[in-house]
Amino acid sequence: MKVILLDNKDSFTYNIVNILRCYDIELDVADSTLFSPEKLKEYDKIILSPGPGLSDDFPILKKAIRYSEESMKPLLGICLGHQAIGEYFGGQLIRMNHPVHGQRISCHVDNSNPLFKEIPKEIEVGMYHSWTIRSTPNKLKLIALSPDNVVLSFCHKTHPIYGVQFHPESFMSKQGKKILENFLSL
Amino acid sequence: MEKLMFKEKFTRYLKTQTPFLFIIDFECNSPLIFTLDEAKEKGVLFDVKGLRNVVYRPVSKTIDMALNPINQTEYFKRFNNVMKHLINGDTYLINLTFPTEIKGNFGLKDVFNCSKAPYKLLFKDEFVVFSPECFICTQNQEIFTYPMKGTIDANLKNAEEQLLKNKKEEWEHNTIVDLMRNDLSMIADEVVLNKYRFVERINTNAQDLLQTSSEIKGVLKPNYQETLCDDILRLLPAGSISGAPKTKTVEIIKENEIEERGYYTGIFGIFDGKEIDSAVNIRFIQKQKQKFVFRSGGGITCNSKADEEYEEMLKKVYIPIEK
Repeated sequence: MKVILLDNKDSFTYNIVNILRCYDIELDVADSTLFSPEKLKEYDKIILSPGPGLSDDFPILKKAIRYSEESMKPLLGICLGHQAIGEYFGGQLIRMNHPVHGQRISCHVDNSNPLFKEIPKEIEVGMYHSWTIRSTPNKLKLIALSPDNVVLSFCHKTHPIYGVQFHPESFMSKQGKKILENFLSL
Repeated sequence: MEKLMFKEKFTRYLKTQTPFLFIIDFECNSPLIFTLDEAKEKGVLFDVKGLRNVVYRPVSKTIDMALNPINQTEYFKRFNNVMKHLINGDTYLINLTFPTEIKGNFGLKDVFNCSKAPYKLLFKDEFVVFSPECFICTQNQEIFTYPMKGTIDANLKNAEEQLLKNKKEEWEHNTIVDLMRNDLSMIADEVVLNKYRFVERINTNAQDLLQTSSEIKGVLKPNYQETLCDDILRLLPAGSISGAPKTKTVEIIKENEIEERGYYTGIFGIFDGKEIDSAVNIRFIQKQKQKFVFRSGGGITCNSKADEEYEEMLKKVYIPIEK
């Protein structure tokens, strides 16, 4: 299996790599600002990394989501990548009054969803964001929520497209490795 | 050219097990490398946990210092610029530093002699470092880093408990831990967080401090000597004195600080013929046109308050001494 991890000039990308190295996959990491969308067809799965600023600062993100929508290839967006998915499907991005950088919070997940397979319903996750998708767009299904009702994860109703607002690669997300493993086994 | 020569020597000394000293600036423009004798000849003295190229007796000396820092209005203006970026999510954590002119009864060499720190460096008559913070060290094919974030006056009531319970300190520490896990993962495999937020004590000329650190470990590749120089350069600037995400954060630092960092917040290290041990160049005094300047700063997050950060920056203008 060939996986492409699009790095949005982030400093947590290699925490994802550190996890993915444990699995028997072929992984490429590419600077998302230099990556040509034509190359997406060489891969079986796509991961969009976290990153600074807004998803529109990284035009490749929405192209990758469109490609996944058309090709049915699994795509996982983390933080900024999650927000790109939300916006692509018509969700509204809002700035939070209190950004949550470096916070560990509890999160309620729908473990009947393949992304959260064999994961407890209540998990701790690490957060680094100052923007969120306000409500889940029609084409998407909400699959994780924070205690104060912030959308923490959604998936497409008919396509293997997943977004997580929290950081599975953070040391604070004890189930993060399992979540990435679940994505790889989609 | 300088960089090429640096890399060539670094790799050759590693392979031939020749002990050496290296110093790299924040901007990575002017890396320096010396064999231990060369260093001594050039007036570059070090003491890394007792391994040193100079015979001296650590002296006990009372240090008196008068501070002339950046004025608050100026600091607040720059702090507020940085806060806009934090609120916008351009950065989650940013280290903002400023120079403070100091006057006192000492020279750079006195500071080198009487300060107590695991990592000490005296660079000619230009600057002195007495750093508590390890950058990376190697041990039997493994690499370690010890990000340090969070300090408190040790004399406060329940100081340790207060420090560990402080949410802002915890969030900032978490960010640096994830950042340094990321950085080690760029150059090593099987990166793990070994110890989380352990407390250490530092004695200073003004007060005693408690601080929290974590330990992160990775496994180096079998032939790591071939690539270690490039690997170390790839880790720079160090996460604890830049921030996350690093690329954008360094841009914001450059826009808002008064002067180039230079060797301040760069790194220095030694290779003892077997392993590398290195420090982040914090607790740094430099001589600028016959004046002494102490450079300090702190990590700013979206929860930081300008007046508290200003105080924090000045609180770090101290010299740790033998007691």
